Amino acid sequence: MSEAIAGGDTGVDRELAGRLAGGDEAAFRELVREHDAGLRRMARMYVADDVADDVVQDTWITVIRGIDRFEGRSTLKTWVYGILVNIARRCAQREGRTVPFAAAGDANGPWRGTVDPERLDHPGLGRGYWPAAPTWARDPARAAVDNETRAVVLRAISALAPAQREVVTLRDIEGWSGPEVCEVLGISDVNQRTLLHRARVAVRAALEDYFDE
Amino acid sequence: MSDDIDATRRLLAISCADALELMTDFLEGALSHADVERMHAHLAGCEACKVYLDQLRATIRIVGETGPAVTLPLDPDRVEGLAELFRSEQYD
Repeated sequence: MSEAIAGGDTGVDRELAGRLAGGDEAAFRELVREHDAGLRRMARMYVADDVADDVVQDTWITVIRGIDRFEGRSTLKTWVYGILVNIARRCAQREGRTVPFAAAGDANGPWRGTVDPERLDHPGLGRGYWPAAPTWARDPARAAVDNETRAVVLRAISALAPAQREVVTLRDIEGWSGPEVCEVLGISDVNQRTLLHRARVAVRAALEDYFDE
Repeated sequence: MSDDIDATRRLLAISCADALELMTDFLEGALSHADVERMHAHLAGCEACKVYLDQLRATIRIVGETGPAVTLPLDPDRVEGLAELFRSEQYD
């Protein structure tokens, strides 16, 4: 059953939603087991840790009261996370925190390019071309992710613009698909890919400093 | 000499700067057929961009293996509390 919940089959989701609406507590427990930890992690992207669990609690209450309105147009997962994002953003605004509004987006913010243009200057081909491969002193291809590497990555992600952090966390850490991220955050696919690109480029640059030292 | 440079540029189809901007869309399968062809042509002739693309792939893998900043184990008390809430809502 947990596979069915995680799987995002809307037919299965409609069936599960029907059981929830009918008061099937076992189905609700399964849903909570599947998503509670993820919702708590997500809430912490928007609000202080001590408020995050209240946001998740409000999310579950909204899910229970609103399950009748689930129409199966989205998966149950994206529907539940969408509710969380709405509650968390409102809560963060009340608290005066910087909200990672990917919708308002810094995807169109200033961008010097994937690689600093100064580095792209080939003696023959000219500007816009690598003069040499950006090889690192240590090969990352087989590098195991030890605690130090992990710290480098987490530091780089926490330093990102909020909307980039939001997208790369969901895509590359939580393993969501592009369409899931677009739906829950209410952003276009183009915007999602731009934010993802900039975030990955920044994390790669942090890894370059680390693997090439 | 300048003929050689023009030939190399044509062979590469697009500049490294342009190829670099397209890399995430390339990995996401979001490029047009024409842009995919340009990327393949560029990567076939440009070792540096191939290295960069491999580093981007390694970055994605490393970020995935890094996992969440906090791991929050499922708290049985929370599950019980929420299940109770679920029950109480059934009679409202």
